[in-house]
Amino acid sequence: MTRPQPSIRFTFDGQTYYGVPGDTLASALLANGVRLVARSFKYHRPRGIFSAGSEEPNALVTVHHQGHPEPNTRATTIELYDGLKATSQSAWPSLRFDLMSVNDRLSSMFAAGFYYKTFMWPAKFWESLYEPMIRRAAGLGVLSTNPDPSHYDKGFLHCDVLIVGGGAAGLAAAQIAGQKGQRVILCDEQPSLGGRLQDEQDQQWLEKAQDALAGYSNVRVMTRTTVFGTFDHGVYGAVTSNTEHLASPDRDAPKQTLWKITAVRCVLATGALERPIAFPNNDRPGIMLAGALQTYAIRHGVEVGQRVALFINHEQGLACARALQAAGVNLVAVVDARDTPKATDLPHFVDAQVTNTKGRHALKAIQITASDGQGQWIACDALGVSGGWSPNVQLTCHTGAKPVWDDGLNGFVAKSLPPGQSVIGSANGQYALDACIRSANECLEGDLPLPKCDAVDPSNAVALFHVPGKAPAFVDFQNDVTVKDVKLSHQEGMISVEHLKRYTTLGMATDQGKTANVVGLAVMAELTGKTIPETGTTVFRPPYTPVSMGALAGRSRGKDFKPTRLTPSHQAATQRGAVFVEVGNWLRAQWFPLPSETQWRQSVDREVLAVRQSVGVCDVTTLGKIDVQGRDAAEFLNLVYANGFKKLPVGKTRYGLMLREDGIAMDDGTAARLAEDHFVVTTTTANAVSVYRHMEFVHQCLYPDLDVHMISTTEGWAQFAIAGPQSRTLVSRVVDMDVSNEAFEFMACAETRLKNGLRARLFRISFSGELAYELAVPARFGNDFFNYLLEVGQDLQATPYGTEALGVLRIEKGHAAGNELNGQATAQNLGLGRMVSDLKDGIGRVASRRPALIDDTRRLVGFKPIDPSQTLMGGMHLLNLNAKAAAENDLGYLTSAAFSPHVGSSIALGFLADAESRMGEQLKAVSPVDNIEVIVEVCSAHFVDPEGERLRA
Amino acid sequence: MRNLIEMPASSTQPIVVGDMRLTMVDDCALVSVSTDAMRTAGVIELLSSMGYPLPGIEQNTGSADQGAFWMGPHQWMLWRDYRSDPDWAAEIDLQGLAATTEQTDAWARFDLSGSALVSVMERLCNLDSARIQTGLATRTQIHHVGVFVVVVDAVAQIYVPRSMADSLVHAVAGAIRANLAVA
Repeated sequence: MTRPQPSIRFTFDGQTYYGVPGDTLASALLANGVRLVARSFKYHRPRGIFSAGSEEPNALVTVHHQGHPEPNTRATTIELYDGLKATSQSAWPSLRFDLMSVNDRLSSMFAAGFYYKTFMWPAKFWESLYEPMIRRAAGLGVLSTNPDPSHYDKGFLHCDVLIVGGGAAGLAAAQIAGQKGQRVILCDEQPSLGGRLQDEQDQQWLEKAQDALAGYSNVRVMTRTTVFGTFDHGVYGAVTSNTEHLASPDRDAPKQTLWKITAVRCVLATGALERPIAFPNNDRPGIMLAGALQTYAIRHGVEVGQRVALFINHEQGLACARALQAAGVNLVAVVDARDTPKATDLPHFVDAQVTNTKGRHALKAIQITASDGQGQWIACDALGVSGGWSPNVQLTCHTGAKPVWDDGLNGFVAKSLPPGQSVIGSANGQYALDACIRSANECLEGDLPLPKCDAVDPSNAVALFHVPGKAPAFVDFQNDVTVKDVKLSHQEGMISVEHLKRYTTLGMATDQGKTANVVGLAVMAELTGKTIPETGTTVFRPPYTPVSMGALAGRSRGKDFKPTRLTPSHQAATQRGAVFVEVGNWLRAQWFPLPSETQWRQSVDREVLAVRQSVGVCDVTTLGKIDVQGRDAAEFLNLVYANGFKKLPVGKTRYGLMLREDGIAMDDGTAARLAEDHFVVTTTTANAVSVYRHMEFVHQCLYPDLDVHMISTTEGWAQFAIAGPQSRTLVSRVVDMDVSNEAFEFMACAETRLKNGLRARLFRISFSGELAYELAVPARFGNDFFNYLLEVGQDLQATPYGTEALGVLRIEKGHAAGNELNGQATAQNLGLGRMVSDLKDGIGRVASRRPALIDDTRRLVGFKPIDPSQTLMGGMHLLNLNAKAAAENDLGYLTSAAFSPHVGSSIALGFLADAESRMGEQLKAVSPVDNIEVIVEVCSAHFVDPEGERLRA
Repeated sequence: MRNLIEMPASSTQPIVVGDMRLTMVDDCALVSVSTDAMRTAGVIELLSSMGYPLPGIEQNTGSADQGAFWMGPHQWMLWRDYRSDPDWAAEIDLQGLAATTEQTDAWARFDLSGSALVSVMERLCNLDSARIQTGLATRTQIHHVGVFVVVVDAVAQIYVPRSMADSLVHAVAGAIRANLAVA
């Protein structure tokens, strides 16, 4: 057994060790004689390395990568790098002396489901006492509460053939598809190709295959890439580990990349997982899968033990024994459960079983018992166990298919497959090298030559899943589930395997029962007297191996969680010290504080009063703008709006109410007619997308024959509300047209030009109740135009105002907005019932006449507190003064509230039952959640200029 | 009244990493064209005579300076330089055969080029890399933002809604750097 001079320094639990290039943490620890690497989940039993791959149930450690702890990482998949720091988990105060191992002594109390039975009362203790106590006593590693400093990436790949697994079958399939010129992606979770071929002395076929693949530019080989899930429509999820094996990764390199792979077809060459046998005390450090022994001995040159034994039940186990012997391993016993002729070249114990083991922190001896009951103890420090192989069929099951049991193979194989998926090689029970290549040839119609192999009959095996005995025999190492637990759960009525899984936690946690499931099912089958096919399997779901949350998030984290939309005047607003608020993805200026203002209300009140008294400018670009053109544009708008639009004259704008098909109010806005066949529809900011989608639906699905063309122009125009008594003066200074009341009356619109010749659009519409305009210019000029308006309006005290003042102004005027258009309000509720025209058809008109809606007497009205010092809040419910705050007494609720500098107190809008007859009445507005009660007077929703004289001035 | 100063859709570009380059092209006028099945032939003939041969589904016809790309059934976008005639898009007249809408400032155009164009695009959008060739025009998503990707002469023109230009630049810059770091 050869191994280079160790040169890579690493630490485990603070102790420094050295490993060699190509080592995993597991192989390096074993090479350094470290056996005890973990404590078990529940009983805190000493545990060692059990496998050599991603199926590892025991050796979970915390890796401190770039200073950040990553718990529950499998030592068997961590590639060693200089400076690697790993620590054990779930032990206190130390791995060797773990006080929590008292649980093992008390294991009879901690059988499956014990906490369901033990911690039943008092119920309130569950969250405060029992759960924290259980979590402290049992469990895996502890997550850091700090943000993960690494960054992650995402990507999308497309191919003709996705091959999952780079072992013999996968390599053969890649060559065949590569030869045919197909676009191939070959993924393997390990750092190098070859799968278990890497554990053979003869590397000839593997080297040739790799050379051949290197010649195909159409074959993309992705190592360190785990395909973790099969999804619909030929989509597969995969994660590539980019930097976890590097001591000093590039700062820009993502730690992992999540790939969404779309494949015309997928060939699964995922191999098979070796199965353990549950026998008494089968979990001591030093006991591992036989194939893992072979991997460590041949691939890594690690002598796992001085005296090594094997416990097998099939022919392939003998091949493993011979490979180990050839590699120089000192085999002291090959315990074979089969009644088979004795191999003369091996210390072969036939028709025998391992019935117990010794060794507190590491294996010291095994007890071998022959079929006649004669037992003997043999000293050994490593035991390889092989109870057969389970084809790795997880990826065939993620869309719902269940595998079927094959008696000949003693394992589950895939039967029904997702569209476009095939299974080859060991994953399909075709284990030998030549069988793997034959299956690839058959699957992809190839003609790769078959190498000469020693024939091994996979059916030459006895079905052996567990060995009876008094000591605990572990079925699921990661969850500390024993044969006794399976029995107990069966006795307690867990007949279905799904119940067994949930009651015992068998097959859960990071390894998802890769080494446990089949053994658990077999034990369950034996107990129920059923066959394994009758017992069935649990469902495999993605991911195949754990995927970090960071990889799923990719670049979408922190402030980059979603895109940010900036208004055209964003820079100017920033320079003016604006405070921003998120409105959907938009960042909008909420208010513009002056240096002398220390509290937000001071800024907002000032901005509101500026609009009421002089003129304010607000960026309203975020409101949706939909360009509607076509011969039938007017007829179309007549249908999508509840009120009529057919006769709207060119050059005029109309307020419109849109209903959903169920008659509920959807959105309000305006439509401006720029030409006979050309309108610009505006929507609320929140509903810009949904209104456009609704209009497309109405056109494409309900009225496809209408000549209508729609496109969003929200982003194309920077639009500013210019509101206040001085707005006309300000607008007249920048627009090259007559904007007098006579020439450009209320609700007029025009395509025009600024005085410098720039194209513009002008609308005389008001959201504040004041004389107001909305003026739009091409978006690239929006930032400077905002500055220019304030500059040229300086003598008019032109004031920038934000969304908060915008909200106060519209509440003062009684305009409905998102708070009122809440998906439950009808046109009647909003006081807009008369807008639903019966003179024409319109979306939602008929449904809006349903009795349930018609009989709803709630109307939008205003409220002000009797005591002006009291504050109203949106969401408060309305009750008669003497009524108890209970649902049956509810009269309605407040939708919007604000402090009105115009009124001098808090004001609110809200829906109130029988509102018309309650004008002037006093009610109480309550918020039981905040324990607030305010006496309010019911009033008109129009706190400002109820006659509308200002906006028509 | 003074002339107004243009504000670029993003001030965080160009991004240059190795031979990869992301540049905003603000001298680009856009106009959308929408017609119906009955009038498509007429529109194709008219626009062809105006120097804008219309492409087929998910295709573009054009050069870096001028062209057309497919947007949807009977819908195209035309592009040309902006500054020589800022009013071109607003005033283009298709004689009632189609609706036209100026889209110049609705979208910001970014040109992405370099030897790793395909592998950078793989990190950005769910677009089959084999299709990233001159002539492509498709709608896809980059970092949750709906974009058009139009490939002309080994350059990917990415059209992003103007308000989200900074987010796009951030995403593309991240993908370029990540790609280089793991290459």
